Formats: sequence, structure tokens, C-alpha cells
Amino acid sequence: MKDEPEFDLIRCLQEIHRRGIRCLLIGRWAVAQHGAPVVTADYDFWVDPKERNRLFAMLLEVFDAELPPGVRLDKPIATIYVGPDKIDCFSTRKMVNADGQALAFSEVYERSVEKRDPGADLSFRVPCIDDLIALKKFPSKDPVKHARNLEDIRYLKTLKS
Amino acid sequence: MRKPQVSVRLSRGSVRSGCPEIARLTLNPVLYHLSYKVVDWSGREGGKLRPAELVEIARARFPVLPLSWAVEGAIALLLTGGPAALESFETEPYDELPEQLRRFRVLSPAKKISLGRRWLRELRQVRDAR
Repeated sequence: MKDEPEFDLIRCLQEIHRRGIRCLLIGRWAVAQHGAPVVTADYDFWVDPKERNRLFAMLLEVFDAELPPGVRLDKPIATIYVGPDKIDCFSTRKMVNADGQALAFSEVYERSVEKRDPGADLSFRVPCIDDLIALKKFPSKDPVKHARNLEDIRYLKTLKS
Repeated sequence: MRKPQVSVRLSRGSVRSGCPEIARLTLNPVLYHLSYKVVDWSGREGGKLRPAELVEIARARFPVLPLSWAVEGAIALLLTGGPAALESFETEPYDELPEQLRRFRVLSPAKKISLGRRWLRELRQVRDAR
């Protein structure tokens, strides 16, 4: 029986770096990279719209990723699965958060922080703390998700101060 | 065309004077007109927000904006965004960095990821335990 595929974030970030895909790790995993001890089952990436197909090709090739029926990869937000792991890929040029703050990929990428770990052959980029706070300000109908976003913002503000 | 100007008596009094606080708003005429769907400006109808409640929501949702802009934003969200859009994202930082943050912060990027994966695995194990 074939084992269920498992997503490996470190391997994924290594592949993104090796292939030179302009992509940011966002969401809670990025919050954790700034120092907040938070955990999430979702993986979120914001990829340069021009490089979207390269990211999808890598996920399909390396992780045997599964596309849910009807999913369209040309949409600005695409969700794909590797086993039980959910991977959200954002490929919009610009996002506008709940405060009306516009976040352009190119600008957020310019301001992003490189995380390097030579011991693990790892190098990737996450948004700076201010941009990550802004990216957390998206309304959710789920009160638990909203509470999580608030917790992340609180951690990030504490880490910034 | 002049922008509508509205005075709203807020429920809480001024700390210094003890008198009711009055908020004076200058609103976009279109938003003001549309706001009648959700706000009871006259204070006589039931089932809609009272002006003071609208101001409180606007202050919480857009704490850094001038009050009139904040109220306009709250009206727009009430009309189009639903209750979730009105949730405030304002939160204060911790007074001091919690010990857990200090310990986690010093880990390498790869170690942070592997620890996160371990927590996730343990959470799933606990959740799936029978």
C-alpha cells in the first residue's frame, strides 16, 4: 500500500530557493520565524504572479500534491493538498486588508527578511514584521481564526517592541 | 452640495466634566443616505443601530482614523461586509517578552520549523486519540 504523501516545509523551502522562485512564506509559519511559538496545520505562500506555475509544478513534482476537483491554478488563491496538509498559494499582485492598507507583492518582497540556516542548507524569505501584521488583518467569519490572528498580531507587536 | 453634519450624544460621559460627550461628524452624503438602512439616526425606530453604538463600533474598528472617517468606514462595512468585517484587529503587545517567546526566538529557522512540525504532530495525535 502506498504511503500517504507528507509535506515537508524545509524541503519545500529548499526547492523554492534552489529553483529561484520569487516566493514568500506567509501566515503562521512566518510568524513563528519571527519568534512567536505558534503552530498551524496550514502552509501559506505568496508567490510572484509570474512564477505561480513554477511553484505549482514544484509542489506536484516533489510532493505529489493533490489538486481538489475543480480547483483552478490560474486563480489568485489556490489551495492544494499534500496528504492531510493544506497549502494555500496566493499569487495576487496586490492585497488590500481590512484596514484598507494595500500590500503589493513586489513591495512586500523588497522589504522581506531573509532567513538563513546554513546548517540545514536553508534560505528563504518572510515578510517583515510590519507587513506580516498587515497581512494578518483580513476578516474571518470564523471567530477562532480571528482570535488566532489577534494573538499573532500581539506576538508580532511584542517582538517588534 | 454640503456634506451632512451630525451630532451624536455618546452614552459615556466625559471623564473630566462628567457631561455627556458629543461627537460631531461630517459624513459622505451617499454613505449617510445609505446608512439609514442600518442606523437609526432619529433614535425612534427599533431594530437598528443607535448612533452612539455606531460611533463605538467605528472607534474600535478604526482607532487611528479621524472619527468621521471611521464612522464612514463602519457604515460601509455594515452595508457590505457583515459582522466579521467589523471585528477590530487592535491589540496591545505584551508588557514584557514572555519566557516562551525568548526561548523560541533564539532557535535557528530550521529548528523553529521542526519544532512547529513536532507540536503539530503532537496536537494531531492528541486530537485523534481514542
